[in-house]
Amino acid sequence: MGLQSVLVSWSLPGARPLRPASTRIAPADTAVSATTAASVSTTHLDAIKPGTTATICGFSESVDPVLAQRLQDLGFNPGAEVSCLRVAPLGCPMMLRVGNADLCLRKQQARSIRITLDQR
Amino acid sequence: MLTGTLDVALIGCPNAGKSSLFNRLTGLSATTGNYPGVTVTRSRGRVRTTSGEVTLTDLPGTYSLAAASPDEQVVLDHIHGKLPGEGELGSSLVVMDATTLERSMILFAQVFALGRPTAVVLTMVDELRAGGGDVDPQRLSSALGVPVAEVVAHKGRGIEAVHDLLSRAADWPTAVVEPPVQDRAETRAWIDSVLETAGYRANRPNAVSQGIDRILLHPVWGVAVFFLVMFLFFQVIFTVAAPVQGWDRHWFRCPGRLGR
Repeated sequence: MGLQSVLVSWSLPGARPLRPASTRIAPADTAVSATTAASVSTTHLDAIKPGTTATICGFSESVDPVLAQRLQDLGFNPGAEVSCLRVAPLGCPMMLRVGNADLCLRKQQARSIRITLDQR
Repeated sequence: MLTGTLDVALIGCPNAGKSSLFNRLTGLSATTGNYPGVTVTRSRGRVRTTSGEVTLTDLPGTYSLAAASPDEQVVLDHIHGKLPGEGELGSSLVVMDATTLERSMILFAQVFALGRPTAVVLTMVDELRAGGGDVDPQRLSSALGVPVAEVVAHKGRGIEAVHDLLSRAADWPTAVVEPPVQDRAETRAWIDSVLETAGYRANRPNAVSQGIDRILLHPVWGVAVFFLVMFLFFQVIFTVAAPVQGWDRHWFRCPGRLGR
């Protein structure tokens, strides 16, 4: 396999939201049903430790909708499993495995994804 | 642009193999690489098929039709005919990397929903199968409702089938029922059902590539390897190449002397 790692570049300040206005992005927390939310702790993806796996449950409320859209395009969907392969010495970027692909995210981008850590 | 020629655009995720396929089909040599982001603008070429000439456009890779960078904007502008001297998009040939098929399906859904004649080329199926994964192109074709060709572009395998497809580019199916693209949860449900119908099984991660990563991306060993490579690089320039430069000079002087 060619190197599948992609550092999501977010270099376009004020990128126009080009998706149609009617496109709906799952609002934060919608994917967490009331029963599971009570029993497991949710945190943000930047808190994941190398070698562990977590399940994505949504996006933080303050997320830029264009970023949320792009992260979903890359496979960071609510309900998807994400595992942390390694983290650079200063904690950024982090190399993650999601949907059969290895991707690198900046810590700041990872912070906008909400996860539940798998209890294993 | 000549009338009577068909316009076909290659659309796909970064690193899906669009440029390799483009080069194989047109005989041109657009720059390719085994990492994403090599193609940043359009290239065009002609392909002769049994039913006439097809103008093929190689576009930069994009993960979806919501552009987030200037090279992705090129794709959108091309699709909507906003570039100078361009009409509307003709037919779209969606190039999908079989090892990341799930991710590629979002783009397919959005392209198919544009309502243009569409077909699919599946690349890197050899890698998928080598890693224990599988997909049935015939069943994928019936699930998507468009023709699917399987290629290994850099080795030229399956190119004939794509030639065949291109000769019928005007007759590729358009979406009768558009895939759901407005709501992400619905899109994902649609993708899951398509992949299940197509008998898709993801491959294991490549062990060799993982092993190399373990060393090269290690905080200590990775840095050590970097300095070793730089050291060898300078050694090659100053100890191996220096005598060769001497011979060089010799050979350039010889004809000079003969001329006298």
